[in-house]
Amino acid sequence: MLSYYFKLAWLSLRKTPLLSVLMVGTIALGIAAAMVTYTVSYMMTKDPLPAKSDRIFTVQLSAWGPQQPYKVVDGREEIPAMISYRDAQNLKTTAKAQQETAIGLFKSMSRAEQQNRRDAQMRMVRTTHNDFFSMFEVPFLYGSAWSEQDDSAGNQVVVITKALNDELFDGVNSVGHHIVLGESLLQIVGVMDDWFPIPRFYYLSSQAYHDPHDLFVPLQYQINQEIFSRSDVTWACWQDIEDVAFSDFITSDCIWLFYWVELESAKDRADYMDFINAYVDEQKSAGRFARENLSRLFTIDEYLRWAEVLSNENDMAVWLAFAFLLACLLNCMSLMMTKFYGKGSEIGLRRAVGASRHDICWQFLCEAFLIGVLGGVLGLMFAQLGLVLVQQIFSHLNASIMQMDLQIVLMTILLSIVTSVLFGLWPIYRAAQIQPSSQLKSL
Amino acid sequence: MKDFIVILKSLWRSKTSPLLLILQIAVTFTIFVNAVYMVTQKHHKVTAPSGLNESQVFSLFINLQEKELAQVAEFEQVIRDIKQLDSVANAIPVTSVPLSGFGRSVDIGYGPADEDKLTSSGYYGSNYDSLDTLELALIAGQWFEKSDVTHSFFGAPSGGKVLVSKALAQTLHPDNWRDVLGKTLYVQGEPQQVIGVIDNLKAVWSFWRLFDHAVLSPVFEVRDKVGIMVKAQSGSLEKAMLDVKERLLMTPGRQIDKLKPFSQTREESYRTDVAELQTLQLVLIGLLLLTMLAIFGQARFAILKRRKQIGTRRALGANQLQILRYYLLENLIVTLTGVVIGMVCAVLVNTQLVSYFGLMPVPADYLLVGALAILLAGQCAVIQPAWQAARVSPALATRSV
Repeated sequence: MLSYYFKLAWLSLRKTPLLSVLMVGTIALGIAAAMVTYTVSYMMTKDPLPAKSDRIFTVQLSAWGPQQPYKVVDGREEIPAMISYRDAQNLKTTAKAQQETAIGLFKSMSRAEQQNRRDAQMRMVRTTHNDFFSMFEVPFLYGSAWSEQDDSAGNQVVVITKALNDELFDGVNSVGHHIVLGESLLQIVGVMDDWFPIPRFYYLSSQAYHDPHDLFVPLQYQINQEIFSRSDVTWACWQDIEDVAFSDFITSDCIWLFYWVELESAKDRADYMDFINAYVDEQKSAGRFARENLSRLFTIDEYLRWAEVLSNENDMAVWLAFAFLLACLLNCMSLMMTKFYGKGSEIGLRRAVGASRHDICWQFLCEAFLIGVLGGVLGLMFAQLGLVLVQQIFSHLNASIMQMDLQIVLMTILLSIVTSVLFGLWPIYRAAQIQPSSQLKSL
Repeated sequence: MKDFIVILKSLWRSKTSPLLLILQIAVTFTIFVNAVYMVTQKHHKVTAPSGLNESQVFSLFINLQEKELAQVAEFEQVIRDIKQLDSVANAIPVTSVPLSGFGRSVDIGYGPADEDKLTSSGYYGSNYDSLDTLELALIAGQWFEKSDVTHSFFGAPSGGKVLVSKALAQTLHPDNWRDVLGKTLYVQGEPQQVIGVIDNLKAVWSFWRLFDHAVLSPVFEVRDKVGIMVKAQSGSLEKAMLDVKERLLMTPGRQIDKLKPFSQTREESYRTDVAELQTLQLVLIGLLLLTMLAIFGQARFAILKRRKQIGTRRALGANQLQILRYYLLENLIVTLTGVVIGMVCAVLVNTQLVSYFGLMPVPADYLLVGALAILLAGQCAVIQPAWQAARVSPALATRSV
């Protein structure tokens, strides 16, 4: 019987092509608008590291100078998100966590060894420890991360992204080749596969939706080479450091590194916090850390919320889009009323030859369902079109936040069907109320 | 006009669906007028000229490797090297690049104390050649002398000369901006004599309220990292960029950063605005489509429901034109009510927007044009079903009553 109803529904849709197109189009428009905004919002707020998100933490220390707080937010003292090289070095040597890494940045002229000098380009270079790659589950296309020994010696080794490998080496295995950074030669030890953590949580929040930088070198290399791009990276000092030597700069309290630790399980958080507090006390007795101890650990999610990368403003757009969907559905409902009203005589006839109200309801439910399916499919197409447009509009952001995964595709179709059936209920109820006698008279 | 009363009566009898339509039109109108106005404002903003020759100019930043006075000589030598290239027309040192997002603002006033501050402004330090390189338009006063040009390690020393943008002059002297000429202006607390006015020079932040305010001084700054703006010979912008890069990289240890044509700087500066603009446009199109659909569906429904009534009227002697006129008029009444309510709402919403976001109030002609557009859209949507209704055969009525 159901297949017969679907056949009837299909015939009925074909009979009034204009009205059907309008109904399907209205639903599709609403679904597309809602799903485009939902997709962007969903992708932007996804957990970038689901397997470890409860046991990876960033360490923030209360290491600012005695004169004034680092920052005051809503009347409360706020501590910086970054720490000094000195503290990073102390934590790293203690090696209390399972894995841990400092993360810094500098800017340098860079080119492949075989490239001409004039083809060199200014690029940002990420400086870190080798734990970075295993902690953040960075996939490798060729080679691997550098070794423990490279880290401690600050060897001239570099890991590059797939994008840079494609640009400089046409995508072939470049491990063993060299990159020229400034005036020195670094050997490529690894080429990363596609890796776009979204949001890019491990450093400053301002570029959370940009791709990772192309070059990764050991932090100790930067220290050995005495590189610090003071006008291109974020850093802060409470002491006056005009014209100080590099060696003094790195032993100062100037902050310029993020520090991330991976613990064995989420339960170890309190333990590790005790360790940090003990470290702060130890530094206090050595005459540093003059302020009240506000040091803390943040999970990725906590950090992103604190840094306002994840905020409720994103939800606002989604609410608006769903309000738009609601308006579309109401319109579709009025179109369905028109449609079913026009079929009054048909309903009357069917009722007269024995169909119950129940049967009529089923028949029209099938029609609403069919409209939902068509609307969903068309809406999906509109949404893809919309996402392409959005990708063009926001071409400077990572495109993968503007793509649907299978889950969202299925959700789109389902949403369309459920809403169109739901909003079809009232017109269907009205249609089923039609008295056979009143209609038959006019035939 | 006797239709008018009849329409009102019949609308009054079945209130719900016309009421819903009125509501929808009102809401659409409110959003529509405000959004269109925001779109045009944004459009004006992103297409406004920057005051300099956008097609021929590019900028870059380089590191200076010497210290103290040798650093000044190194910088001057770099500028000379660039100017000697065949593809380059002129080159200047700059403290920052307009619209680039990186730069400084200075306090402006007619006295040295904090309370003398009148406004703020963007600040650029360059040299004599900036007139030719950026192709600025000097509209009053005179340009610097070559002897005015000097260097510093930060800011401009007191007692120098400056040029100001016309917008800044207008802020200081709303009645007659030419009054600014010859005045001693305190720029970040240092007295400077205003010798000329530039028609148009922007600050570095396109989102800044005082984006149009700029001060230009003949003092170029020498630091570890310095900016350069270059004017290429016409038609050879790309070649000039490559040439400059190749020439500069002949020096070991030289770093070149942010080498890009000014058109790109401009594009990046307005990126969020352009994104907002395009998103708004998409929303507008969606909304308009939806309202059209709603009017269309509603009108169709109303007519379908009244087929018999129409038949009766036809049988009683109404001609097709009268029927058509009836439904067009009915739609006009409904849409007009929606638009009037929408106008009130639009003005209310707009005053809120003005007080919260500092937007400009919507001019009256936007309301009028918006109203006309929606009325027209309503009539277009209703013509087809109304025409169909007019063609209903009178026989229909006689059969079923």
